[in-house]
Amino acid sequence: MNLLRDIKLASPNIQSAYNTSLFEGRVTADRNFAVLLVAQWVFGILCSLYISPVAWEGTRSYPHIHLWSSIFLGGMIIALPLALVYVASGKLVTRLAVATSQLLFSALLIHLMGGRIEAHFHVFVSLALLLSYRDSWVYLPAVAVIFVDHLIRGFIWPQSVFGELAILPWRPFEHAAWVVFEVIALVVQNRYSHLQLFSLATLQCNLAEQCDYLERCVEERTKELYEAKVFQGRVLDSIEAEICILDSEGNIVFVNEPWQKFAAENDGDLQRCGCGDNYLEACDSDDGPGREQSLEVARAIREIQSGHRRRYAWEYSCNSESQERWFHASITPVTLDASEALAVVHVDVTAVHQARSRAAALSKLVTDSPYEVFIFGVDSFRFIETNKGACRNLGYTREELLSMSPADIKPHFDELQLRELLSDLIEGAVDCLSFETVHQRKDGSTYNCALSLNCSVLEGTRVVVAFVTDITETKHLQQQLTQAKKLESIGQLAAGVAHEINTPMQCVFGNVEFLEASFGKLMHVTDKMVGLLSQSDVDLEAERECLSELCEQYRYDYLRKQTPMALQESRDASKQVISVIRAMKIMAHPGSAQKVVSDIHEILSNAATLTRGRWKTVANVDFDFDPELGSLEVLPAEISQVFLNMIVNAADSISEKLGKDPTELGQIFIRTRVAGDWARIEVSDTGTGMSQTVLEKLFDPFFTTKEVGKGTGQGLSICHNVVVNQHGGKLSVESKLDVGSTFIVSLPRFLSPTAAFDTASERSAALLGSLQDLVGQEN
Amino acid sequence: MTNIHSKVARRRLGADELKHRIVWGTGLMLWFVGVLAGFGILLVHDTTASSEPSSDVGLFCNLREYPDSEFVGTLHPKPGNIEVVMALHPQCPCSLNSLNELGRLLATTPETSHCTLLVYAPEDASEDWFDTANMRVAEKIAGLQVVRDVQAEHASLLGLSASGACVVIGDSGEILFRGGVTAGRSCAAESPGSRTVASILRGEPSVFITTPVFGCKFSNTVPQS
Repeated sequence: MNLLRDIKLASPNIQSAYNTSLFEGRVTADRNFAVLLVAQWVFGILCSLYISPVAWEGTRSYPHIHLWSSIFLGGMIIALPLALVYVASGKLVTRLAVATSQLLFSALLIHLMGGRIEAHFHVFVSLALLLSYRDSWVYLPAVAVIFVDHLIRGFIWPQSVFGELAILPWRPFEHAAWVVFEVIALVVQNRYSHLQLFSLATLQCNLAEQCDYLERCVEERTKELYEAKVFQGRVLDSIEAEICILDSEGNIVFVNEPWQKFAAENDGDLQRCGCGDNYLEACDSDDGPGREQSLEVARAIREIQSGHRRRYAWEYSCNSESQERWFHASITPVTLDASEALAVVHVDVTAVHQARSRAAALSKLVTDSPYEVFIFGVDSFRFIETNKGACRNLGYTREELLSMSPADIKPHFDELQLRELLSDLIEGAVDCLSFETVHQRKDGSTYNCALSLNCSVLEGTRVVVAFVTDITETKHLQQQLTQAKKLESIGQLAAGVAHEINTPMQCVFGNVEFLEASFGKLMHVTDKMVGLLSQSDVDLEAERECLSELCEQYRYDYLRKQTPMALQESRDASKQVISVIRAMKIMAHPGSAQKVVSDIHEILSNAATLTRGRWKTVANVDFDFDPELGSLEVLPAEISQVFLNMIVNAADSISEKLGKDPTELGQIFIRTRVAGDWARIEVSDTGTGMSQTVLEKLFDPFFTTKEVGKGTGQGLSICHNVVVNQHGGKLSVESKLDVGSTFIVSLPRFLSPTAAFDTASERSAALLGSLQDLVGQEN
Repeated sequence: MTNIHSKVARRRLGADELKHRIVWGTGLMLWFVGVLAGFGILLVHDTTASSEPSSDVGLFCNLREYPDSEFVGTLHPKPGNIEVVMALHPQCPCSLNSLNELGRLLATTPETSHCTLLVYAPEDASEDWFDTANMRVAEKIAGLQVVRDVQAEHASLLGLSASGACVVIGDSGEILFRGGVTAGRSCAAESPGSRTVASILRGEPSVFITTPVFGCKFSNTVPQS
C-alpha cells in the first residue's frame, strides 16, 4: 500500500508510463475543466437572460445585476484558469487555479440562488470533479475558498449563503465540516485512483512489452515469410527445370525463370504459357509437332483434377532443330493458399538420358570384358557386382560370386588379413593399390594375377573396385625372359669364363704331363731297386753305386722336390675351375620360387669371379664386407644375376671412361653394411657416371645407353623386379657424371618365419614391399 | 567564451523569468481583486432593500381611518379573518420567490385568510404586460384576488412601493405587518417576513412588524424616502 515506495521500486518504464499517464490525465482534466468553466459561464449567462435579464422600475427596465454578475464576475472567475490551461496545462498552478475558480463558481451560484441548499450541491459536485486531477493539493484552495466564502457571507449576510436571516455561529463550520468530510473521502479515493493508475501503468508496460514482443515476433515471422518467399522464388528460379503452377481452372499463376526462358527461346504454343494464360487451352490448341504430348498433358491434368489420378510423370523426347532432347515431365497436386493447385515441372534430362545410355554401354563393355572386374562393399566385404570375365576365369556363376567375399578366392588369406592389406586404400591414405597375388578357382587351382584397386561409391555405398588381370602367361614369359637374360649374361661371360677355366686347366695339364714323366722315371728307379733287392749276392757297395747311378740318371732329387709342387698346383687349379663352374652352375640354374638362406658375401664373390674376365683388364675390385652381415634369405640365382649385372655395368662404365688403351686401372668397390633391419649392398665404380635424364629412365624396360647389340635394356629392369618385387627390397642409384656411380641394394634381413616355406606368404611380403615403395613414391 | 555566453544566457533567462513572474503576479492580483470586488458588489446589491415602509400609511394604522378610499374599504376582512395584500410588478424576476412564498403561506390557513394581489399596471398597459411568469404563478394560488393596480395607486396607498411587498391587515382593519416575505432577491427559503406572516395567520403574535423588500420598484409613483 505504500504507493511512493512501490513507484520508486518499479522499473523506469513503469515509472515513466505512470508519470505520463498522470500528466496526460491532468492535461485532459485541465481541458475538461476549461470546457466546464466556459460551459458554466455560458450557462449562467443564459440562466440570467432567461430568469432575470432585466430589473424594472415601473415601466422602465435595465439589465439585471445578476446578468452583469454572470457575464463579468463569471468571466473574471474563469479568465485565470483558462489562461493557465492555455499556457501551463498539466502544471500544479493550473490545477490550483481551476479548483479555486470552480469553487468560486459554486459560491457565485449559491449567492445568486439566495443560499438555496440545492445550490450547495454544486460544491460537492465540483469537489468530486476535481478528483479527476488525481491531486489532493487541489482541495486545499477549494476548501479554503468555500470555507472563507461561507464564513464571510455567513456573518455579513447569512441569507445569501444559508437562506436564513440569522444563523448560529457554527453554521459555516458545519458546512465546512461536510466539505472536509467529502474531501477526506475524495483524498482516500484519490489514493486508490493513484494505485489503480499505477496498476494500469504496470499493466500497460507489461502489455507494451508483450505487444513489442508480439510485434517483434510478427516482424520476424513476416520477415521470415518474406525471406522464405523470396528464397523459394529464387530456389524455384535456380532449379534447372521449367516449373509452372496452375490453379484449379488450369490458369497459370506462377512460372519460374527457366520456364520463361524456355518459352522465350522456343516459338509456338509456349508463347501462350505465361502467367494468366490457360495451360489447358494452350495444350488443347497445340497443333505443332508436339500435339500428341500436349494432349497427353492436358488429359493427365484433367484426370488429376477430377481425382482419377494422384500424380503423373513421364519422359518424352522433344528434339530441337539442332539436337536431340529428352524431357521428364511431372504433374503434382500442391496446396496453394488453401486452394488446390497443380505443379507442372519439365526437366531437361537429355544429359541424363545420354549418360544413362552411355552408362549402359559402358556397363556392357565391363560386363563382357574378359578381364576380371570385382566390386565389393567396404563395410560388408561382400561382392556386389562382378563381370563375365571374373565368372569365366574363376569358374563360379555370378550368383555364386555375389554370395562370396574376396577372401573366398584368395587362398591362405582371411577377411581380417585382407582388410589389413587394404586398410590404406579404405582409409583413403592412397588412391589406388596395385599388387600381384594368387587367386583360387572353384576347382581349387590357382593362378597369378595382377590387381589394381580403388575406392568408389556405388548407389550410395562405399565400394572397392578391383580390376584383375590373369598374369599366368606373363609370369611364365617373365621367367623365360629372366632365364634368357641369365643365359645371355653367361654367353657374354663365356669367353672370360673359358679363359678362367683354361688357364688353370693348362696348369693342370702341364703338371699332369710332368707327373706322368716323373712317374715313369720313378717307376724305372723303383724297378731297378726291386731287381737289386731280389739279387741276394749283390755287393752292397755295388748296390750303392748302382742306386747312385739310377738317381743321377733319373734326376731323383728333382723329381722328389717338384712332384709334390706339381700336385699342389694341380689341386689349386682344379679348385679354381671348380669354383668357376660352381658359380656358373648357380648362375645358370633356372631358379626356384623358394628363398633359401645364403651367404651374401659368397654370392658377391662368385659374381666377381664370374665377371673377372670383364673387369680385370680395366679395374681392380675391392671387397669391403661387414662381418656382422650373415646370411640372408634370398633367391640365389636371381640375386646373383643382380650383382653380376651391376659388376658388369661397372666394368663397362670404367672401360668406356678409360678408352681402348688404359694407362691405369679403374676401381670397383663392393661393400656390405648392416643398416638396422636392412642389409645394404653397394657396388661402386669410378666410371663415366650418369646424367639426370639417364637416371630417370634407368630402370625402365628396354632402356640402355650401350651400343646396339651390346645391351638389351632389360638388365636393370630385371634387377629392379628381383630386388623390389621378389625380395621386398629397395634399389637405388647415386651417380655423378664423370665421377662414377653407386648402386645400392637394400634387402630385408629378417623375413617372416614362414617366408622360406610358404609361397603365398612370400608373395605377400613382396606385395608389402611393393606397397611400401608405392607409399614412398606417393609421399 | 562559453562561460560568458552561458552566464549571459542565464542572466537573460533570469530576466525573462522575472518578467514572466511579474506579469503573472500582477494578473493574479488583478484577478483576485476583480473577483473580490465582483462578489462585494453583488453582496451589496443583494442586501440593499428596494424600499422602506411608506410613511403615509404607517405601521399600526387602521384602514378604517381611510373611509374615502373605495379600495381600502374592500380590504376589511371578516371577523376572525386576516387580509393579506401583496404588490406585484408582473415583470419583476425577483418577485417569483415572493409569490411562491405567498402561496405557501396562504395554503396553511385557507379558511381564515384572504389575499389580494395588486398587479402593477401602467396606464397604457396591454395584455402582453400581464403575460409573464409571475402572473402564471399567481393564477395558480388558490383564493388569490388579482387586482390590476394602475400606476400602483392602491399599492402606494398601502405604502407598498416595490414588487413583493406585503401588508397584513387584521379583522379590525389594523395593519399587523408590512414588508417582504423573502430574505433576499434570490432567496426562496423561509425568511423572517414569511415567518411573521405565518405567525399572524395562525393567530399568534407577530415576530416582526416590518422586513426589507427585495423587488422591482413601481416607478416613481411612490417617492423614495
